[in-house]
Amino acid sequence: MKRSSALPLLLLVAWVAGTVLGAEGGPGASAATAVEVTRAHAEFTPVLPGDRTVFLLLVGSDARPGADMLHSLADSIHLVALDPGRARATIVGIPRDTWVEIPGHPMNKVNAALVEGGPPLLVETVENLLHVRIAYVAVTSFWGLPAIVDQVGGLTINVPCATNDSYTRSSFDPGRQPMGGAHVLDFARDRHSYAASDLARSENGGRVLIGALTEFRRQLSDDPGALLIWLAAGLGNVETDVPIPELALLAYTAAQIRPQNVQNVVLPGTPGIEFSRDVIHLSADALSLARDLVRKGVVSPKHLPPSPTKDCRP
Amino acid sequence: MLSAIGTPLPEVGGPRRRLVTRLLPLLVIAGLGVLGYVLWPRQATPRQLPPSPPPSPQSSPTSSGVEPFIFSVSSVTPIAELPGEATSLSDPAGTAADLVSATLSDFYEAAFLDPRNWRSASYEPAWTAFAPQAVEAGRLSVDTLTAGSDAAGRFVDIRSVSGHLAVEVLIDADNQATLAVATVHFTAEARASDGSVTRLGSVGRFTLAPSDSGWKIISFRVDRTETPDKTLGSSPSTAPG
Repeated sequence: MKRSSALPLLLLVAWVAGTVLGAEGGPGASAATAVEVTRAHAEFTPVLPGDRTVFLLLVGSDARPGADMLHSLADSIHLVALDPGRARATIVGIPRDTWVEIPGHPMNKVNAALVEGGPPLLVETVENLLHVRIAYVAVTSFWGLPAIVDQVGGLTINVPCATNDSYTRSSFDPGRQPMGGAHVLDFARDRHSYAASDLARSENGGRVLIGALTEFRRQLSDDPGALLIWLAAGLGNVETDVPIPELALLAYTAAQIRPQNVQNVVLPGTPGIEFSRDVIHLSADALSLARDLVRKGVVSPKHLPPSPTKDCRP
Repeated sequence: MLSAIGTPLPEVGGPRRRLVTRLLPLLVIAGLGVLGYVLWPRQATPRQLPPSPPPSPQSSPTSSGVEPFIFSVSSVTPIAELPGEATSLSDPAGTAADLVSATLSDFYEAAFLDPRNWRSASYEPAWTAFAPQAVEAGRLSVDTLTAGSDAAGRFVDIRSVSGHLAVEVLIDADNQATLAVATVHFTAEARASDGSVTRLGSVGRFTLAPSDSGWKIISFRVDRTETPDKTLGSSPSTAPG
């Protein structure tokens, strides 16, 4: 056998010999043995039943410290439709100036329902307005929102437009922006940077919720213990009568939903005047939108209202 | 350099030069051998788990053949609704951690150590640690969560080596423990009839909630490993449990 033709064989023998000698080569070598490790993974998180859409009402009260958070004006109102069966959701912003019937009271802006009758009356008002059945309600405040955000380590929000709000003395560049609690509150409150004013603010509230969902999913994926951090942050800063096991179930259900499968819409309407006050009269499309949610768990394309922030104020 | 190996070297030197010439292929082979050893891909070694206190009590199997097993609780972290409250919440958190440890100890005992279960490939007693909505998920993951449905055909004895857990406990405004997440590290040795030993490892994150019958698993994320342990295979065998 020529040396040249023996070379591959020598290489092979050397490689195998080296490996075998290394594996069996005396004391201490066994710790570095090439052993076959069999691995398996299993995981389970409970989710809500997938046969129906679940509606939650998330409310931001404008109560200041010392005021009754549950009986102040509702500054932001978002109806969230969870469709667990298809792992998708729709956030419906309800402009605070929406002119509505408040059961047992004269017509008024929807945000007055919280003042008049607390969360139960606001829930009833929204249910009557959109013909949905709300399963859960949670109310937070001006100081609650930033506290929650800070406790979970901040959020990254997709800012639609460059903003400069002299009222909150805040400005944001467009794009994905990491924010602490105070900045999230500034972003969520800003209506002066947008031509669509309160409608744009309502849509931005939805962006905050999507940012929270994104961050929650990320943290929960890294560490199941993140659930406790988020629940603690929520429970410490939100008024809700939902039992903790149900909150955990809701959180697990939300975590199944990818942010790109979340619709963020604002009830369509037109500005008007009622009793010398600026109000919003909902359009007929608002009811079509709500009907879609009840029937399909999602707003069909033909009923999707235009984004209030699609045209940013120069 | 490699191409030079296959090229006959001219024998122009003296005996010393010829010796070097003849030894060169052997040196190269030896070098390649070392290289092969160093570069050969290796999996995790059998002793990959960090040192942990032994499960207690380390007692002999009971008359039923079950090795009593209790996790060692390495840490308890209370998580309060309001920051700053946690330090005053150690009592309810500690009590909850004990109950969580009891549930998970019972589970791992039933899932890995009780020969009545793994010899019959029936782990029904293990699922009592699960909340009703999680039981079916447990059953569907039986080969990851337990010694396995084929354990009876593979092993004659399974003993715990180590087991410890860290617990985070959510404390509500009424100072009640309402939810817990436990991180579990469990290792057992499974011996086959030929004396070979396989190390069974389970690293799990379990979420538990209190119920009328104790804390129950509502969610889990578990990684299981099996590592043939040659070093243990040569050690004296113990009697089958």
